[in-house]
Amino acid sequence: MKQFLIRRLLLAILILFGAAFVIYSIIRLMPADYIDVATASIKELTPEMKDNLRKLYGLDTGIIEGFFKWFSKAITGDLGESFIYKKAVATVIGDNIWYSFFLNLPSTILSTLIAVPMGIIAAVKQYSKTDYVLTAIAVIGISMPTFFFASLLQRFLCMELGIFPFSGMVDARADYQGFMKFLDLVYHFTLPILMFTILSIGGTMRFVRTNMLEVLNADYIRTARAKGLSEHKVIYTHAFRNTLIPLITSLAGVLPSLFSGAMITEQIFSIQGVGFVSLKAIQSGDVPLMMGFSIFSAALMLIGFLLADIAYAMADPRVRLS
Amino acid sequence: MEDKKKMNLNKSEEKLNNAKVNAADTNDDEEEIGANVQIVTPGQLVLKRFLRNKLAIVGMVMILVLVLFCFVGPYLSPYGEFEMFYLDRHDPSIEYSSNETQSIDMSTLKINSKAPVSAKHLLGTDKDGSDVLTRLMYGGRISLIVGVGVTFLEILIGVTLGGIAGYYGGWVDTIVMRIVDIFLCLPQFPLMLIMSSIMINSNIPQKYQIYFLMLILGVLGWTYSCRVVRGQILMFREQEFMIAAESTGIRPSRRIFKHLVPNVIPQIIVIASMGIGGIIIYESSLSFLGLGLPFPYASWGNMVNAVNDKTIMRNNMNIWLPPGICIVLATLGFNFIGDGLRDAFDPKMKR
Repeated sequence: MKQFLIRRLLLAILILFGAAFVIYSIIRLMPADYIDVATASIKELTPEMKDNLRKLYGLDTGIIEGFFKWFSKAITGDLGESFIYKKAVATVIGDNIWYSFFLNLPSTILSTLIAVPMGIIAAVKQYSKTDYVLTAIAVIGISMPTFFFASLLQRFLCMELGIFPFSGMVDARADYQGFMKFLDLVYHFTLPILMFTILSIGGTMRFVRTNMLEVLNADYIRTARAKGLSEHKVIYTHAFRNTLIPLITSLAGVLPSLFSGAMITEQIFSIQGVGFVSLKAIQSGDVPLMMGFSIFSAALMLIGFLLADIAYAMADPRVRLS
Repeated sequence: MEDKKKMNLNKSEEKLNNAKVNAADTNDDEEEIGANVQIVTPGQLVLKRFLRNKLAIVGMVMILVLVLFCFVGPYLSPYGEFEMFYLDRHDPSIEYSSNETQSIDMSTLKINSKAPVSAKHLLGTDKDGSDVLTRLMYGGRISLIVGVGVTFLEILIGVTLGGIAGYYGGWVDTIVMRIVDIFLCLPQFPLMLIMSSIMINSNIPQKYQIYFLMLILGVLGWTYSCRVVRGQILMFREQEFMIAAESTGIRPSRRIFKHLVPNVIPQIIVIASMGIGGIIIYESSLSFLGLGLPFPYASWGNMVNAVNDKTIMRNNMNIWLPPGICIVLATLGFNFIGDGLRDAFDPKMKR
């Protein structure tokens, strides 16, 4: 186990290095850099002054040189300073991460709670009307682009019916304090959370259904039925418990992504999470911030893979990590 | 695969025997036997199972209708993709097209923007005074071409690298899989945004930007098919038919692509049909953020983008609702087909 972890961590550093290089090269290929964007309105600026500014922001280097400059700092934990926020990148991400987290956590819990029973029912009643309806709902959820669904919800629930606030995190006109502020925040987050929940039910449900079908075809289920167990017991005690292994594995893999932002949703609902900030960074050419969140999300992915492997070994006694 | 073939052989043999018995009972006419024998190939079996799936049929119909709509529709539409419409300032009932305004004094005209649904413009006009229905057809071409093109590219890269990695194993495999690991942990959507903003500001002619866009999406998305192909080939290369192939002395490239890869084709077809939907969503999300194919080209994503104007969102649903529905229908159709194909190819699935 210990050896496995050490090897995986070393490998992760190697992969992160490769990923960082790819990301850095692509970012630096962007045609309009931060200086161009930030000084677009200042006409008096001479090219020399711009070059000086570039030097100041560390944008005067080539891709390779710039990357190693960034990397040698990053390895000590210094991700640099964001151009637009004028704060350390780690601070910017740390400040905004919780909004993304509180958007993702409730919807992940809710959608799992809804999707698992749906998947079981669809699998047990395979090819019935119920199965078709549930599968169709699931696939519609998968097929719905976030931006369109968000627009629909905003148009009908916010504009037409006025149930939810259109966007934003707090009511700007009311100056709530303490608990009221929290409630206001919850109120503003309800619609995005609802949307996320609906959109992510489909994937989990299909996953549960497929695994459940595989288990239901197994011989030990026939045995369980043959020895006269009630159908309820067969399905929930014998079949479902065996689908828990892939389910737990995939949930463990999802865990880190709770911290990664959702660009389009956060943009549409103006929620200042990681996704919102990173979209802003891309639009303004903020290289350190872009690098920061890219590496951050790459690291989250790697942690996710690792957690999935560990969870797999813990849930399934037949698997040994080596 | 092999098992299935054998099963079919057994089945057709059985039928043949039955037919013989029947034929012997009545008469010995050989043509009669031929009429009774029905040989079912594995492909036909898959097709039969696929056609029995109602949702898959619905998906097929949806895609067929959309393809006709996008590729035949424009020929039936009286308007062009970039054609704009103007109204006479004094008599708004007279409409001019941008094709005929050269001879008219522009100051007497105003753009016929956000026109309501009418017999002339079945879905009204958008903010720039173009016919929504016509742009919807042209926009769909982008989504469908990008969807299919990117999937093709992903499969091409994935199968080549996966095949090589799986066949050679060892350090080749290690290198390919590390590259896959790197690509897996790249933040896909942000990189797509960055790369398409590079594309938009580059001096690639607008006509060819769609190919660049496909390249971006394809290069970021090939890892899944690569992993699946590699896993399958690792399994197949240990089987006897590969020893046989090796003993004939053919080149490794032929061994990989003639003998190994064809065994993975069912998985590839399923991955491809399920992947197209996701790519259509990616492409339209890029367009929605204004980083897909640039104006004046229509795409479903940048047509939905009109919702950023809150008055359009509230009052002109004819502008943004149809393209959104089209995206959902296209994605839905491909997902249904993919689901159906997966079930049809799976020999374990019994009905």
